[in-house]
Amino acid sequence: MLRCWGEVKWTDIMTDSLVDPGALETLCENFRDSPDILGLVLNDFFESVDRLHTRINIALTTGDAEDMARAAHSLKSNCATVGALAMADVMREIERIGNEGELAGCDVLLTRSSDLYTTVRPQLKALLHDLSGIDA
Amino acid sequence: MSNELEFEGQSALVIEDELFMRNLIIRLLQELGFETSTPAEDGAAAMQILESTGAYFDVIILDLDMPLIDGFDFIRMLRGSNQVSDNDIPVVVVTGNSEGRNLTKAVELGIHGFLVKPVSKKTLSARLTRALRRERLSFNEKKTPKRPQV
Repeated sequence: MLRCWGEVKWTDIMTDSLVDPGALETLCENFRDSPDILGLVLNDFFESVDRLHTRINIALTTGDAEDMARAAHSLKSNCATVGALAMADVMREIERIGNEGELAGCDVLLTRSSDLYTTVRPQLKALLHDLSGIDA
Repeated sequence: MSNELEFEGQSALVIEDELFMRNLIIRLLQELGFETSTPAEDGAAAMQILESTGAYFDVIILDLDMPLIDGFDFIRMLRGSNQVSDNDIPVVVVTGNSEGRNLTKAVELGIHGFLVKPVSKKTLSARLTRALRRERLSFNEKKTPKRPQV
């Protein structure tokens, strides 16, 4: 039985995390009958972070505010899906700036997101393991 | 009746430009018992699948915010096409933007469900159940504020 359906939930434990455990608990519930899928979902997320960070960086280099906003919008949704809410907040701000046709400050925000990711990634992996016993 | 039985044998066209979300929706559909889920990364690719191959789908799951042909344009093209085998095919919209004007615009174009990301299996199942009955979302009469009937 997966631990996320036991009596103790991570929402009660991880208060200092950059990850909202509730989102991963929802994913666990979604794939209750085939928990192996959870590892694939999380790996898809990790791939998307690398790909969309790169795309934002390229958009910054080429001055393409529209594409930067679009990439940030996508990554914002992806982060919210797995509960990486601090990263989602950064992406929301990049999206807002990009939608105004601006780029200013987004290099700093992108660095902030990358820094957060170095902490978020192992937190997500550990959380998934503890919730489901699955390794991503 | 379980969801798996409810959706057994159904087919979906999933139009979503972001790979992570596209894969996630397809996996959720598999969990729900859908027999086939065909991916399309934008509205143009989806129209090509619908018009050129003549493929039939029970439902379309559509992201609103896509480059080139966005979800709104796709619905207009779909509903106006005479090359699609069923241009009244149910459409469930998925969006990361919960602004009311998006919902209003989508409902006016003719949709059967509206979902705000992140997508959960439970909510997706509920929207699909309604969509497969081919009940379009509509607004209440003037007595109440503009809200979709669910």
